[in-house]
Amino acid sequence: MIAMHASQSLPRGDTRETTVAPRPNAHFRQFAVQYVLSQLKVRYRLAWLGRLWNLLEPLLYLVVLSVVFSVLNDSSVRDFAVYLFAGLVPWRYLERSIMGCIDSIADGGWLLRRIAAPAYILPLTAWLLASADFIFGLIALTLVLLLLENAWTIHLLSLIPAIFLLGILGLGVGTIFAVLNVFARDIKPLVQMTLILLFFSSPVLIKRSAIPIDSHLAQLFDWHPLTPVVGLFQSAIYLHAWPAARDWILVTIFASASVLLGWLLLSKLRHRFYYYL
Amino acid sequence: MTPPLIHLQNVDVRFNRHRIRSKRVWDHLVSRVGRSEAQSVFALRDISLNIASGERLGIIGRNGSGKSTLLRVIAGVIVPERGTVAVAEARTLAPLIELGIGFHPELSGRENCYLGGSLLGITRKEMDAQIEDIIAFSELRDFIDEPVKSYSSGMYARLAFALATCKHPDILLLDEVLSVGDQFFVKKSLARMQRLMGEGTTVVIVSHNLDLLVTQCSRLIWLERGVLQADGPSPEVAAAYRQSGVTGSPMDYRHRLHADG
Repeated sequence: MIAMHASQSLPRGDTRETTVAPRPNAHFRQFAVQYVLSQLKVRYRLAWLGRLWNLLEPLLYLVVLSVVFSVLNDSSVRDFAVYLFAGLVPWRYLERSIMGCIDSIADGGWLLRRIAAPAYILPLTAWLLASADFIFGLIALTLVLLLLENAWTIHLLSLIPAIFLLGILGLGVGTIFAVLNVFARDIKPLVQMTLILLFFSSPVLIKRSAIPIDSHLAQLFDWHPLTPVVGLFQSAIYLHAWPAARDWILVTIFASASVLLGWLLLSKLRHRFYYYL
Repeated sequence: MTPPLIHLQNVDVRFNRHRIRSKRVWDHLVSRVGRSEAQSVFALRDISLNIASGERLGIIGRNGSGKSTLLRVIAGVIVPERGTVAVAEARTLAPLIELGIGFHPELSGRENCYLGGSLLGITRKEMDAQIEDIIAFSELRDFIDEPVKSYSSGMYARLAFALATCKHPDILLLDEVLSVGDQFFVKKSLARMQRLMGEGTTVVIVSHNLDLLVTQCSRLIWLERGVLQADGPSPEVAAAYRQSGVTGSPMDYRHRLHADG
């Protein structure tokens, strides 16, 4: 029998509950691995040089910036190169994580408009790609350290937790901006500009010893969010010392807070993505 | 009594026109001031529906009536503003098949099969065994290594259908997928669909092809401007829908039926 339905309105603000059979997490893990592999393929499909370029790019950066900024820092090129690389490699990982993640959800309509996939999978895969690039940066860093005498000290062990925290920080900040970029696409250029400002005002390029202690720049360095982050790496690689406790605490707070906020934004706003993709 | 496989209760989906348009930080700041209810439109209104396991349900309605939105709500892609959607647990829901199953435009058809297959729980090894069947079924042997962004809508749909049905899904959602393929492919797809239905797959199809729905579905629902107009055996709902096109608006038709008793 055919049932003709008359519309009836129920009071607004009623319950909202969606229980769509969840796909097993194993499916998504498998998808994430496949997605990362396929993205790597896309990236290098037409450029065999791509893989080599990943290694050459940080080295090229190093050479150019070392020559230019060693003059500004009144330092020898060789000495400054180590200092620079100690900050540059983690900085580039952070920057690539953030800029890689930022478009991941906004460009993910092909997936999120068709499958009830968890949205975290997109910034996560973008971050994994940035992490793959970072490995090339680490190889380049190792090559530089191999050329130096007395570079291999016990303090390099602190790089293991430092890299872990840096990775978490990149994923967290990247996820936050990936979510915001869905709703306002001009977030991306704003973030890009902010990152440039952060980079050029940070201790990545300018040595603390090259600036007067009471100057405004010294005060800026004290409050600069990148100071503790790159400090973890500069201490171990350049100063041959254990990183300061303050740096550990601050970076741990930054990383935990950002990943928590990113997760919170994702879970709160996931249901609205559909309308903006 | 067996609980329904898919259960929808008082589901509302509303699209806010302003939200959909706003893409800048400034728009969001301004919209805090000028937002109003008048800017939103109901895509689905107060939809309640039960779909039993193994059922073949067709959804009909004019353009903009909410058919695809309803399918997306069932797929879990759209979370309704109000109401309850429940799909029985431990069921494999094939991704919504329309033009692209969730295909990455830059990847080739083959790579997309591996990628999309992983979401269906098909491992790389299993896909190695299935890929030839998918290529043969989709008739895309010459194009399977081309990026899918170069595919026509028919090619997309063929690959999407072949992939989604290569492993027996519990629920298959089809959105106009059979409208873009050629007659030979439609025939082949229907045969596979019938085989799956014989094996217990629940199928929900959205289509403008009323004859196809009447022959393939045991039950039809008719949506009009997001409101459920009719729900019942296919021939009867199809007849009512056809008549609505001839005699006037669906609202008139509904009132007349009620008046007739």
